[in-house]
Amino acid sequence: MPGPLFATALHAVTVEVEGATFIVDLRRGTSVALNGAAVFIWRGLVRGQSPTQIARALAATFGIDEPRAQADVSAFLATLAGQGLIDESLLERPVDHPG
Amino acid sequence: MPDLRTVIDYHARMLGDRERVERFEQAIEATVRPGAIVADLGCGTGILSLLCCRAGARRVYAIEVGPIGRWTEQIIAANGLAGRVEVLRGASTELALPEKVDVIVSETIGSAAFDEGILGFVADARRRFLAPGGQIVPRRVALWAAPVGDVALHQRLVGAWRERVRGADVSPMHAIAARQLHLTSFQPGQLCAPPRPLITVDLAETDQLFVAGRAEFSLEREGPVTGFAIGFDAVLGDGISLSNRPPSALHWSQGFLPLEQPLEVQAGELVRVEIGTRDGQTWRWRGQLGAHTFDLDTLAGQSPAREELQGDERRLSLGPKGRAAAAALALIDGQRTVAEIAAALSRSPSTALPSEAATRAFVERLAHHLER
Repeated sequence: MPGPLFATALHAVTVEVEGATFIVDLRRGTSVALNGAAVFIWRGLVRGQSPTQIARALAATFGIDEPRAQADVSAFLATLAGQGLIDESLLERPVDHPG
Repeated sequence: MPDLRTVIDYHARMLGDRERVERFEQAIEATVRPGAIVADLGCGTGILSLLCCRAGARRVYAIEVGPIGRWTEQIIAANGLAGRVEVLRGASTELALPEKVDVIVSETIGSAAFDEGILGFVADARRRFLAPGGQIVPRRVALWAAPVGDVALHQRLVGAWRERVRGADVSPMHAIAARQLHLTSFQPGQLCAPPRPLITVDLAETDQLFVAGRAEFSLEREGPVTGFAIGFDAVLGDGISLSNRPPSALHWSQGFLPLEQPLEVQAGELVRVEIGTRDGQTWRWRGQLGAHTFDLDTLAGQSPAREELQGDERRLSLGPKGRAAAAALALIDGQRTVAEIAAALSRSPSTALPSEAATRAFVERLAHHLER
């Protein structure tokens, strides 16, 4: 496919169980539970939002200032990228993309 | 546990699949040398183990976890090969062999290529059982896919859950049905484009349980796309192959990864799909159909337990069955009977299950596992 159509990796699948959201890494056969902010960021990625868009929405929804939201989003994306769960080019995409 | 009639019918269909048996026979004759030692993973009735002996194998370890395994020894004995074929009951991943083997044979190919667990079984057996330079039959298994245009099929397997049944709303199941790998038989007329290979696995090389691939299709006519048919192309040996691409006379059906609902695609528009699977047990399929995108997986449809997802890090505690098992283990001494142990458990509120019958059945199942 010309360029990634999806921001999240094919092997990274989310599932909700008893109110908790997990990312399951089908490559490793492992899973991690997400907290509320992480779920919010992940859903933004799935919707095709840029990190900047997600950070703004995170700030508005969780009542935190934008620089902190931006830092939280960047830190979470770096963690996800480190585990190979998202398209790494997201880390180099500080501006809004067409999504 | 599958119904016994289902198991017997299934194995009769496999044995009656002449093309399947002949191709495996050809591959075995080309691969198994006189004096060779063979492991037959998922041996079923033992037919391939018998063919290995006919090709000259000195010893075959015939491994079967399913219920058909209880008769495999009888079939082997009926052919006078009890001295050369050792039948082992259980999953190959949980067994040890007393020696290395020269050849691994495994007909654990599923209708959707990997859905019988061939990736995990062969990778494990290759690491633990296979001698250096040993060979594997099949050599390669590929997954093909093709877009499906059959709206009636989609309605039957997925859309029907949106219909009311005598006024009853069964729609909560719709999202689950759309997130399943369905097994069904396709004819070429149900496909919107010819099948294309997405994933090819060399069984002598891969250790990966997760495999994935992508493909593009150009539709020649406009119309609905309802999902993707998937199946296998297998290379058993030099010039020896099997495929369940429609039309297929093999006993295998094909897999169907549906869309949530049919999507209209214009002639000439591209259909793009990525498919990934972890050992054929969990599937994800996503992509683009003209202006639409889709992203589905079977994990939600499998409704995993929270404990499964918490993995190795979770702290364990005993529930009612765990307490009953612990108490039963302490009572197993080679003297007490199932009935005596069940009665002892039933007398204590901390270890009693809902009824005496349930307690007794539990102890019987526990004994069945522990005595194997």
